[in-house]
Amino acid sequence: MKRCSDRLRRPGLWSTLVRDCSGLVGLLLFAAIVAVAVIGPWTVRSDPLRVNLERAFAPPGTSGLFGADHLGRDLTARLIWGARTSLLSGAGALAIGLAAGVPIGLVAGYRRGAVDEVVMGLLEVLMAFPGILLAILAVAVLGAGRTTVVVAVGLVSVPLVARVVRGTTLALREAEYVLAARALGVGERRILWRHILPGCLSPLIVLSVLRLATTIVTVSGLGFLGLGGDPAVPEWGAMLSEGLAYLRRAPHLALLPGAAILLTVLSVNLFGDALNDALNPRLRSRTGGPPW
Amino acid sequence: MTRRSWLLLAMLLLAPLTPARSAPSGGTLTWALHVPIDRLDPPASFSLATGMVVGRNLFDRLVEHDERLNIVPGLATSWSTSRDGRTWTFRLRRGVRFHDGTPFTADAVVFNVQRALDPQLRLPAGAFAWAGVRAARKVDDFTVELVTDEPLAPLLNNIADSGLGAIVSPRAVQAARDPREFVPVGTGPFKFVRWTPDGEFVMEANRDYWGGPPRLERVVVRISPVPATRVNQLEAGEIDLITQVPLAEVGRLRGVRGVEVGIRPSTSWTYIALNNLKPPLTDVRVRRAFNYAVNKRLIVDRILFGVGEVADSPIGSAYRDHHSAKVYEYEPATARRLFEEAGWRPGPDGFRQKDGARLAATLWVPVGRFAEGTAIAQAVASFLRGVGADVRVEEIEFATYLAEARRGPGESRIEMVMAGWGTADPDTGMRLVLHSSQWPPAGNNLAFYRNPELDGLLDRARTTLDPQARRALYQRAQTLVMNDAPWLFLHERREAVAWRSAVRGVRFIPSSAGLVDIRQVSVAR
Repeated sequence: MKRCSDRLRRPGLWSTLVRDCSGLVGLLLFAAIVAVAVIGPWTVRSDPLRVNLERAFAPPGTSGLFGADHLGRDLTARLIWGARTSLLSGAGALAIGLAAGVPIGLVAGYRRGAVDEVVMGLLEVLMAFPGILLAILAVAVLGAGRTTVVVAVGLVSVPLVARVVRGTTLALREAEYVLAARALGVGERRILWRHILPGCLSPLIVLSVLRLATTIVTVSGLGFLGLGGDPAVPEWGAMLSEGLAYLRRAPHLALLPGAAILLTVLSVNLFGDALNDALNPRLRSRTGGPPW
Repeated sequence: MTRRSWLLLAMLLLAPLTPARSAPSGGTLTWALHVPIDRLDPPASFSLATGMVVGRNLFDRLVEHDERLNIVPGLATSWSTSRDGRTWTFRLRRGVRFHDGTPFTADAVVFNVQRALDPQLRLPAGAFAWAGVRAARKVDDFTVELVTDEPLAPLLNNIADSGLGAIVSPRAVQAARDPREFVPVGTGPFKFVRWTPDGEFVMEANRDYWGGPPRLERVVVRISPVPATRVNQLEAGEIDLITQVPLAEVGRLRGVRGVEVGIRPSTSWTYIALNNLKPPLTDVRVRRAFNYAVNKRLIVDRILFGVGEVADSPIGSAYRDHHSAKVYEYEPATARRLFEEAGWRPGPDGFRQKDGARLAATLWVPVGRFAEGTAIAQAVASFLRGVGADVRVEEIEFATYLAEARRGPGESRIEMVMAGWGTADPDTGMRLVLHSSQWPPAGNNLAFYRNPELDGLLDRARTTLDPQARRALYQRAQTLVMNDAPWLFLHERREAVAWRSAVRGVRFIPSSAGLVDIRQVSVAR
C-alpha cells in the first residue's frame, strides 16, 4: 500500500493510521460529511420541507445549487438535512447495538457455562438472518417510523457486538491481572467494567466504525423501502427511492442522494480498515481483513 | 383433475365446433399489465386485471357499456320493467353457445344470479353486480325475470360494469369441485388457452362469437409490475400494449416514433376524507377552508403531469349523471377568512388555535394505492400549513388502512385519509361513500358524513327508474355534497396507456377504474 507520509516514523496510532493513503482519505471525507451534518443545516436558508410546486424539477443551478425535487423542495437543503438524519440514525442504531451487545458479551464471556451457551446460541440464530431482513421484520412488528427503524437496525448489531466482546472477554478472564483482581476479592461487576472492558476497547472501536457503515446503509435501505416514517423528512434512502421514478427526467434526484450514501459508507469503511490495521497488532503486517 | 387436463377436455369438446372458418387475421397482441390477474372467475374478484382481461373478453354480460357508458344490448337483446318497477324482464339472445358447446339459455342466467348471491360462495364482485335482486326466474328458454324488493335503478349499470356481472358457463362451474380447478368458460369473443403461475395469460379468438369473430388471433397478457420496465419493453417492441404508463414519462413517450399514448378515462376519483365527527373538522367552515387552501390545479399539473381533472363534483365526470356542481378554486384568502370566522386565529407557533386547541391533523396515505399518493399528500399538507393548519402526512400499510377503515364512529382514529372510489352508477358511486348508513364498519363513508337531506335524495334516486327524474336527484345531491365539503376534493383519476403504432382500434370504457377494450383491436405486422 502506498505510503502517504514516510517521514512519520513514530509507530503511534496516529502515524499508523495516516500512513496509508486510503485511511487518511476516508477520515478526511468522513470528517467533512460529519461537518456538513452538524453545521450544514445552519448554513442553508431554504426550508427542506417547504413544497413549492411551481419550482418542481428545477434543474441544478437555476434554483439553489442542486435545483429542486419533484415537489419543488430545495434539493441542497434536503441533501444537507438528510446527512444529519442518516448519520444520526446510523449512529443511534450503533449506540443501541453497543448498549445491549457489550453487557451481553461481557457477562456471557465471563460467566461461561449455561448462560453463555443459551445467550450466544440465541444470538447465533439471529445472526443467521440477513441484517436487512431482520430489520424489516422488526419494523413490521414495531410499525414504520424513524425511531423504530433505528431500534430495528440497532437490534441487528447486538449479536455482532456481543460476539466480539465475548471473544475478548474469554481471553481476558484468564489474564493474570484479572485473576489477581479476583483473588483480591474484587466484585464481578467491577472486574467486568474496570478490568475487562478496557481490554475490549480496541476491537470494539474498529467494529463500531465498520458497523457504522452497515447501519447507515441499512437505515437508508429501510428508508428506500418506505419504512422510515414521515415521508417529508429528508432522508437519503427515501430521497433515492422518490427520485427513481424520475430517473429519465431528472436523474440527479436519485443520483445525488445515492452518491451521498456511497461516499459516506466508503469513507467510513476506508477509515475503519485503516483503524483496524492500526489497532490490531496481529494485522500490523496487513494481511486480510478483520477477523469477523 | 388438474387445470391442464380440464383444458384438454375443454379443447376436445370444442374441437368439433370449430370448423374451418375464415380466420381472424389481426395477429397476436402482447399486453403488459401493471397488476396481476388474481382469479379466473370474474364474480370472485374486484381486481382490475381480472375484470378488464378475463371478465370482458372471455365472457359477456346481459347488457354492456359503450364508450360513453350508455347501456347497449349484450346477451340480452331487450329488457323492460313492470309497472311497479319491481320486476325486470330480459329477452335473451338466441343461438349463443358457451365455449364448451353448451347453449346459452335462461337457465344459465338464473344459475349465475343465484350463484353470485349465494353468501356461502363469497363472490364479492358478483354480489355487488346483482345486489338488490331477490330472485331470478326463468319464464321460457329465452326470457328471464329478476325480482327486486323495490325498484332498482342501478341494476343495468352494475351488471354491465367491468367483469362483475359476467355470465359463466354453468357446466364449467359445476365441473370445478374446487375453485382452483375452475376453467373460465364464457360466451365472449375470446377463449381461454392458459394461465401459468408466472402470471402469463393466453386467450385466442372465438371464431363462433355471436357478434362476429374478433380481429385478433391471439392475446398474450404478461405481468410487468415495474413501470420503467414496462416502458422499456414497449419501446423495444417486446410488448404491444402497456397499462399505467408512469405519468412522468407520458410527455416523452408522445414524441417517440412508433408509440401511441392514450389517456384512459374512468369514473374514478381521489379525495381526502375529513372525519366529520372530529373537531375541528366538525365545522363546515373549516372543511371549506381546507378545500380553498389547496391548489388542486397545480397538483394535477405538476405532480400528475396534467393527467387528471380537478374535481367539480364528488363523483367523476364520466358518470352519465355527473353534474359540474362546484370547483373549490385555490383561494388562500378565502380559506383564511373562513378560519377567522370559525374562531381559529394564528397562535404563537404560527399555527391557528382556538380555546387553547391547535388546528392540527394527521393525513394518512395508504402506501402504493394511489398514483403519486404520497407526493400529493405532502403537497396538500404543505398548502394547509401555509394557511395555518398543522397537517402532517403519515404513510400507512394497506392492511392497516383496511383495519382502520373498519372502526366504527366511536373508535375511529381517522382524521384525514386519502381514498378513492369509482363505479359505473351514481348510486354505488355516491351512496356507498356518502350515505350515513354506510359509516364504518358497515360501509365506506370514511368521513362519517351525515346529511339527512342527502340520504333522502340518494334513497329516492336508487328507486327512481325514470332517467330524467333520477338525473335531477343526483344533480341536487352532488351540489349538496360539494357545499357540505365532507371531503377535501382532489381530482378525477386518469391513467395513461401506450401501445405500438401497429396496434389499431384500442377503445376505452370509462367505468370504474377505466377499461381498455381490445374487442376491436388488430395488430398489423
